[in-house]
Amino acid sequence: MKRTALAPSLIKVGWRYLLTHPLQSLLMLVGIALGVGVAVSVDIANASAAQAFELSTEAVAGKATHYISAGPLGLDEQTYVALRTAGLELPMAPVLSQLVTSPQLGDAPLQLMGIDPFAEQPFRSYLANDDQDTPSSALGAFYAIPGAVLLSTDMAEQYGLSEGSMLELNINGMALPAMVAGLLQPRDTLSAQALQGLLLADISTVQEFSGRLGRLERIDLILPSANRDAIIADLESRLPQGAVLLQSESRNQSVEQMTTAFRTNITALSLLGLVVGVFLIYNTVTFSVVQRRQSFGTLRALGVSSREIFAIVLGEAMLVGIVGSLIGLGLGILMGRGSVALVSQTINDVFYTMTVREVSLPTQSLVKGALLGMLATFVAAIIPAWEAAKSPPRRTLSRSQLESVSRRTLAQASLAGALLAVASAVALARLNLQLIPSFGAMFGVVIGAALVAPFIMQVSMPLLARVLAPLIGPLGRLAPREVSASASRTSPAMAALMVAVAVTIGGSLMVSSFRASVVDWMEVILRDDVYGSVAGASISEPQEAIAPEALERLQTWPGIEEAHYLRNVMVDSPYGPLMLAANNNPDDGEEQVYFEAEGTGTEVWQAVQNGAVIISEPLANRLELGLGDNIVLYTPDGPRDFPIAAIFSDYTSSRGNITLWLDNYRAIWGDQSVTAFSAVVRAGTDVDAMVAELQRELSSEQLLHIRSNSTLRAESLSVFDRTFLISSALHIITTNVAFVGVLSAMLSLQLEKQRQMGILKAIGLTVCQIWSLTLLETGLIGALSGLLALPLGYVIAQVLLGLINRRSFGWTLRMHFETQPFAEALLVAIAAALLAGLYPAWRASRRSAANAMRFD
Amino acid sequence: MSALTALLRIHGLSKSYEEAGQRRPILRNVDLEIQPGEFIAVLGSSGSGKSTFLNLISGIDLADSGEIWLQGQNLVTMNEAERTLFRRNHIGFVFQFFNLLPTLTVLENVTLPAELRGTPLKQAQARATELLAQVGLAGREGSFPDRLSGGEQQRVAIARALSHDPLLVLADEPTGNLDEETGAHIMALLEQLTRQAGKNLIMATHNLENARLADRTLRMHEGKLVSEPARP
Ligand SMILES: Nc1ncnc2c1ncn2[C@@H]1O[C@H](COP(=O)(O)OP(=O)(O)OP(=O)(O)O)[C@@H](O)[C@H]1O
Ligand SMILES: [Mg+2]
Repeated sequence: MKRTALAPSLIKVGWRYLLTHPLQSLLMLVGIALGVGVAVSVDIANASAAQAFELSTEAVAGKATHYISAGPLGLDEQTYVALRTAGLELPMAPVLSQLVTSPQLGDAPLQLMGIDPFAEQPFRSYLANDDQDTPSSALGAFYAIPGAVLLSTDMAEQYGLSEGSMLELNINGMALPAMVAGLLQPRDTLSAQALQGLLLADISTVQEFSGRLGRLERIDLILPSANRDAIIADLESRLPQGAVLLQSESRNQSVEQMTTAFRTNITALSLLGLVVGVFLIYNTVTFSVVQRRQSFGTLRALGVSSREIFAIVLGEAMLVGIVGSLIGLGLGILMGRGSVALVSQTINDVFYTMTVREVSLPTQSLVKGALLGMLATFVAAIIPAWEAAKSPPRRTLSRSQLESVSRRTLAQASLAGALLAVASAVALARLNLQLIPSFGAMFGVVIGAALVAPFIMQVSMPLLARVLAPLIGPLGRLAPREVSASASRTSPAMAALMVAVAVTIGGSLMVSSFRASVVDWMEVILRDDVYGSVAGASISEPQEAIAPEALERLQTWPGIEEAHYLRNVMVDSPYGPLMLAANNNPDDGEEQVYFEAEGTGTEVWQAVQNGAVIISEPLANRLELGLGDNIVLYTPDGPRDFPIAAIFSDYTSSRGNITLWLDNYRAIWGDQSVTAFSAVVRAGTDVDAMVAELQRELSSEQLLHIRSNSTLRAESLSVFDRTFLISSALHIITTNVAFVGVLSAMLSLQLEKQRQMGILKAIGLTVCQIWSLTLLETGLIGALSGLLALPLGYVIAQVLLGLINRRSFGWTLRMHFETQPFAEALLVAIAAALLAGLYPAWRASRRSAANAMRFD
Repeated sequence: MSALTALLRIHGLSKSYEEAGQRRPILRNVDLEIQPGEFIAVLGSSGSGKSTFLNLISGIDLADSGEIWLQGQNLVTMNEAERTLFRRNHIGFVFQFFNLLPTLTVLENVTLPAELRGTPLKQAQARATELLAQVGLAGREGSFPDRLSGGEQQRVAIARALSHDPLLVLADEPTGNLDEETGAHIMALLEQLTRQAGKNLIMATHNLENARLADRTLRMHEGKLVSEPARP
């Protein structure tokens, strides 16, 4: 038999229900809209970040397949000349790039790329001149004007610049004059975005600007795929000592992998919000079904098929789901801008410097968001819809039969839930799960616990009644009684509430633990009194060289007991470029938090002075290296093995870094540069006064940024806070969805009781008692859900800290147990539950008993 | 206390409902006096206002004007809280549609009014058990209301109406949803229990058989309460 459409009256049954329960429908709408909104905004942010990443690598690497590089000191430009004149017939282009900032360009870090305009054509598309002569005329300007730079028309427009505008570029703490010699006309929006954050100049200009006369950073090459091995061998034979030929891809691969993991992480966090939303929908729909059992029975008796009942319930939910999803899309676009800013901030802080702009037409994100919202609604509504369809015709189940049936399913469900939770927990603890399975197992624990919670409620309410009754009289017995007697209705509400609160706890515990870990860690690693680096350099990994004169003056500065130097630099390795941090602090072995080490800090440091290195936890995780392994680095003398003496905790970079003894670095790489210093001050010195004096005296030629220990900590902490801003933001939104969930669950529960409240009033409950009873009931559910959420929240936090962070950032965070997130969450649960009781209580108390009994 | 003093005195009681901007008077200037111990039946066709009348006397609905004096207090001038307390102490109600609390057991339903009045739990339960036995439901104390038949539910409702020892029992069509035989049985039970306890009973019904048990029969007609001549 084929049935196509629902009878109009049946459609009305569904539609009217939504209309006559506007508050419930509205809350469900809000829940879905928020869930979808967050997911969409995060997706927009992720898509933007991924695109920006791809474009910026494309902009910098272009079509190059390989490059030649030679470590921190760079290549001699004669190498390029020699290769050019060797008759190899290979496209090759020299590059020297430099991070700069400019007050005329918003003071944001920009990449100044020095190129040879005549060698560029095959490599980077933005210089290709199909039909325009802009590039070629601009290229001419390179030679005519000293300090000439090119930038994109978009950037020029954004900052109100035009051809001929003067710029001040800050490079290595020095302000240098430059001029906009020409504008690059991007061919399409994609290349426009690729050019965002990029300045071009002739290579000689950049050599001059950065004080690296005659040096190149690398030579890009395009090697044909045919006969490639022979070509590589030929090239390698021509390279001078210390230069290596590397694949272009490897340079960005690791960063790409890491940012992908990070994006997966925030996607999953954003999905947590939607999971809470699913519980909210499930609760609302289940409720609407339970409430209408009688009507469905009657409809079935009248000849309505169970498929039609199914369609009514699912149809109602989907209607709200679709409208909610649409609103969510709008919200997502609105929130997208904020998310893009937060995500790009984090990526810049811990992964990679790049300019992220919102993708212009996030069609894909929107489609995904809409599907997600509808899928969530469908998943949440299908079980209650099926339940409704099962309603037996004519003889409807009596209420207490229904409750005893649901008590039986409750016991079964809680058993299944317990098994699921335990199995997932074991998987988390025992198996070394990857990011996505980790999240899967975490959701398993959450859902399992949600199934067990109502069972615990069933058991605990009678006990509570026994405690409360002697204290507050009959209401003390009535309220717990009511809660457990209507298990079919309170259970989903309870589960929804518990999940929501637990997620809230997990999130805030993660954020607070992260901060506490960082604070503790800084306590150990930042021991000196004064810190200095070139102004504008990265706070954790400064790579700009400090002028030797400044360092000399520092050594003999009155009041300074001991000065330490640090050299941060990228070096090539078979694993791609790695960050080195070489220092000469004899006590640095003590000033580390070890993740894994053999022997004491002093012993470790002794080994480092003898030629070993220590690597950060994120690097160890990423390269899968451990204690006792060797790490290979390319040195001017060729590849060299460094034994790993320890793995230390580090929260500054997900790429990770390698610490080694400065003297060893200098001996191996022949580079005398220093990029940061720190100093211990003689006891009794006024540190702030000395910092001010150093800042004034040492910065005469090169602008340095000198800070006291406390200032550096504060600055670092604000960077860390920024890193976690996106997680915090997601957590706040999830809390809000949770709050809406609680509100809607409690509201449905209490609104259904209007008739019962009428009877109670008729029997003689005072208005005050009606209020007390309602609030006692919602408060009890709130408090119990909140209490049960505490251990679950703890588990979620453990997973987020121990597993998810390790997989997405590379570092493990230790749980810093604080009572505040727990207390706060419990408060949120109870407050939301009480708040949700207010309106029904007010309505019940205001409505005359006669009316309440007549009409519900 | 003089036997001549009326237990309940109703004077000029009026009630109308507003629907779609239109006022529909239900009760117009109703007067009534009831002596202690009297059993009054109120007859009337469907929609004549019987339930409305009882609702007003119990204070679960509010009159537009008039006076309802009971125990020297005028219900009409009381506020909501006072009316509730008054009802809790003095009135027992048997509703037209049972109106038992579905989430409470039979015993709990019957115990509740006494408990609300402040009777210690043990005592209230003992009284409730006794009443349930009197209405023939001994052994069903732990059942939930929806497991009972209509007649059984109504017997629980009667027990509940008497559990807190009220002065006045109001019964709204107590047999309306029951078959004839069960109805007669319930009616007999209600009459017997109230008279035995010396309570007053006002019952709304459209069943002449039931009305015959009353001391006095009144009829609700076009918003007025008129005396029905005693039938042979
Ligand atoms: N809250 C209300 N709003 C509007 N009209 C109402 C309301 N309550 C009762 N009425 C109307 O007042 C009239 C009297 O109702 P009531 O319930 O008192 O009748 P009744 O005599 O008890 O009838 P029945 O024998 O059918 O129970 C009816 O016409 C009813 O529609
Ligand atoms: Mg009636």
